Amino acid sequence: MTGRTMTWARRTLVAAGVGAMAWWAVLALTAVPPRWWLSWGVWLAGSVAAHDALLAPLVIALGWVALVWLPARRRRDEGGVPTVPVPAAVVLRGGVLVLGTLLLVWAAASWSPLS
Amino acid sequence: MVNRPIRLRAPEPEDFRSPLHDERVVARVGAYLGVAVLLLFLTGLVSHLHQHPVAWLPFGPEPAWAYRVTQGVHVAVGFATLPLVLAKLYAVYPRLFVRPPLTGWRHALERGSVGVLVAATVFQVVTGILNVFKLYVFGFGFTSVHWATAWLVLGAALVHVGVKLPVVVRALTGPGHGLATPDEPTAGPTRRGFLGSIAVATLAVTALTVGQTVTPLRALALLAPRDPYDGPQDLAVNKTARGAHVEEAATDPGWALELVGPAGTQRLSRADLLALPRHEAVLPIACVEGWSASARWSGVRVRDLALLSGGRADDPVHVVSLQEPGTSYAESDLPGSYVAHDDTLLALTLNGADLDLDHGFPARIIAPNRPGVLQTKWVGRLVVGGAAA
Ligand code: HEM
Repeated sequence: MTGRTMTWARRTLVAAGVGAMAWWAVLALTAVPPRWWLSWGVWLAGSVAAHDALLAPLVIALGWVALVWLPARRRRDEGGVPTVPVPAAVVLRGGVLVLGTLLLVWAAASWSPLS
Repeated sequence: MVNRPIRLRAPEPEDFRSPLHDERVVARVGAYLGVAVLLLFLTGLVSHLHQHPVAWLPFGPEPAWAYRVTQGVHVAVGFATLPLVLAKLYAVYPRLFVRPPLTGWRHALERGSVGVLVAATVFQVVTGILNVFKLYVFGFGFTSVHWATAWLVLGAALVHVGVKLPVVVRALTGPGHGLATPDEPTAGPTRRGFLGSIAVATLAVTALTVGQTVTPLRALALLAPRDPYDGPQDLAVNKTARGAHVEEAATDPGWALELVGPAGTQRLSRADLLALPRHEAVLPIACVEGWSASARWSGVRVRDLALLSGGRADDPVHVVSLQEPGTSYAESDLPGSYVAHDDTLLALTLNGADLDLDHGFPARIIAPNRPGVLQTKWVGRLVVGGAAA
């Protein structure tokens, strides 16, 4: 991609994006009743806060314990280099993602009046 | 890291040393997520335009299965987006701690747009999934808020891609864009392993939910909100007669369809309707919530009723149910192209038996390529063509 194409592609994307967000503002004011704005805002902010402040630190801490701290403890005598064999690490971190996803959906499913 | 004393301080991006946080991973997961968001926006737009038609992009009754596919894809991709969002947020998490937090107005705008993107995307996924499980815990009406937020997601995603385009191009095509590079550690999680796990998580959640739309996979649908064949007459029900408060009106032996047209108003009892030429059609009920199932319906063609009312075979028809006026989905409109279609029926039977009360007894609309919420049940009145005015 040449410099000019890149510049134009970026300008077009940003302009289209700003346009779409402006349309969102119009819809928010005209298509969503004001009595819903507060709970909308709370859910917008709340889901991110729940992720960034709870879910992510928990997963990062779990990863650190399983992939850094525990192996390091085991191998302290070998110079303290933390090593987890690649397949084990992939299974561990992948397992958290797969099980975490399914757990979240399972929680919604089991709480649902449909179940 | 092991030998460093543990100090209590806020982390910095450099503290996260796993290769999973580098731009090659971030750009790839972002690209998958971008495709998912685009698909969600487009299929959502189709659903919106079915319910809020515009003259410049009218939908017709053909192909009969189209809405079933677009909304099925919408909800299936919606579920699949959950692991993609989790993975993307995990990969970019270290950037939350960048120092200094703001270096100027451009940086502030860039971070602000990312904040909006994350909030709006997580919001759509969380509330979308809660909604299909009928967990209406959010305190606002889902459809209009979801519709407005869709534009926020799209807008913030376009701005974000515009801002990051050079990095994306470099990470996907530039020198050293491969996943297995010499700096890849020989231990610990690898970039390819991480992307593989994302694929497994996406496939797993899809496999366990998609059976509500792809009915041959029903047996696998352990986490799907619905079994589309579980209900009276082997077909799921979204709104029951009790929930719609129509039990009494719909079972009233004096019920008669009010047919309003250019020739005036006629009243047709169920027996009158059963005596008219009947037509059978196999058509899906395709719910806005993603599940769908085909069933065998029989009844009177709406176009025959339009003609009987003195109208034309392709006059639009306004449908009014026995529900309290003003309640959700108590009315719907059949555009002329739908009325004229062979398979658009005022259905009286389902799978060979009288309609169950929860399926819309004494009569309901069933038409091809139409969201379930517009297949009005417990019909009380049909207003044909100009008579609507
Ligand atoms: C980035 C994410 C998403 C975008 C951009 C998006 C976009 C849309 C749009 C534009 C509509 C049409 C709304 C209308 O009729 O006015 C829609 C409808 C819908 N979406 Fe999404 N969506 C997203 C995620 C999800 C997810 C994750 C789910 C659930 C798994 C979901 C479930 C639904 C449902 C059930 C409807 C039908 C609502 C109704 O008509 O009652 N969406 N979506």
